[in-house]
Amino acid sequence: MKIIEPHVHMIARTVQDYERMARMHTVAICEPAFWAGYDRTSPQAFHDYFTHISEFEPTRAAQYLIDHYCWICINPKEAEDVEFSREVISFMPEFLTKPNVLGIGEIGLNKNTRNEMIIFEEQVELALKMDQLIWIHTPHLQDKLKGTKMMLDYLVGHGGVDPARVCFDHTEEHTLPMLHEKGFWCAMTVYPVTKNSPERVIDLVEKFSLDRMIVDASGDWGPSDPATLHDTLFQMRLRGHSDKSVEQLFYNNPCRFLGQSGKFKPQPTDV
Amino acid sequence: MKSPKSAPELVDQFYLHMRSALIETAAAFDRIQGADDAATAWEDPRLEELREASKIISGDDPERARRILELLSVKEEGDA
Repeated sequence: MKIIEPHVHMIARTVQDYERMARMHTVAICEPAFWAGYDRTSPQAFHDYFTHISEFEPTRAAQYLIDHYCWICINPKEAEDVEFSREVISFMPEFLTKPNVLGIGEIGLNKNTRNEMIIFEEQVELALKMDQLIWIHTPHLQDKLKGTKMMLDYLVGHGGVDPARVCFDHTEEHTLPMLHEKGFWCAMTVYPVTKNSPERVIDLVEKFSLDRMIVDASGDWGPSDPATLHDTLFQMRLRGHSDKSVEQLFYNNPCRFLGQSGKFKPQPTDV
Repeated sequence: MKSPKSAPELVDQFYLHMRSALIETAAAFDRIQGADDAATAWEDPRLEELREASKIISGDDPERARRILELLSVKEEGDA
């Protein structure tokens, strides 16, 4: 069975993670643009970062027979400076036309501030203008519920956003139901301590169906591990689910969402 | 999408995991209570939230995980 990792920050990982993922049958990975652990000192630093994830990381991944795709954006944590963010947004279109860039993400909110929301909205508008998919980061811990509601209200009220082309990531029991009900894709991140455990992800799938559900490990520079994606696959099998359902969650579903970009090469097996 | 396992089968599968998670939390409370300046820490609102969460676990109402996550979320205007 082939696996897709829809969210991993390989710029923060070692080549050993590529090797481990390849051995665990991962055939394609997606790298959203994110906060590097420090604030960049100039918009040009983002240009360098976008070049790294759209040109260099694919060459690292290819050594392990993994297709590497990425998303481009100004992340919510650095979106507090509106003018700085607008400079970054100004050169995003040149990257969005590259063959391995899937869309705009991971945009969203961090502390749910007005400035973060302004930049979120401006990037949604750019996505609509350029017919791009959207990948959304929902805030951490105690800020997640409020921030998710803010973005959901905006997107539903907008009137021009197709929820089938938007995925909210890092969803949990208190945020997934409202998003799923409105037709958005829901990604669940499996972390060693925060976010979801493998067991809770399968609980949510059993409750809300396989439809528009995605799982990721969101490996980055903090406590995280690409293998938690595969731990979740194993948990699903331990719970007695069929190979067909497992394949839908870990391969066919990401193929379907990401395939809407027109650039993602892996194809669903259940066409 | 219904669970293929019955409830008794799930108890067998998860009992030790549940037992471990509760004991780890209890031990952390003990650790904090036994350390210097425990009285100050005991007033930490985060610990109070966890004590409230334990009541949700021991109750009979479903959707415990969702209700605990909501308890641990920033309160919005108009929320109780």
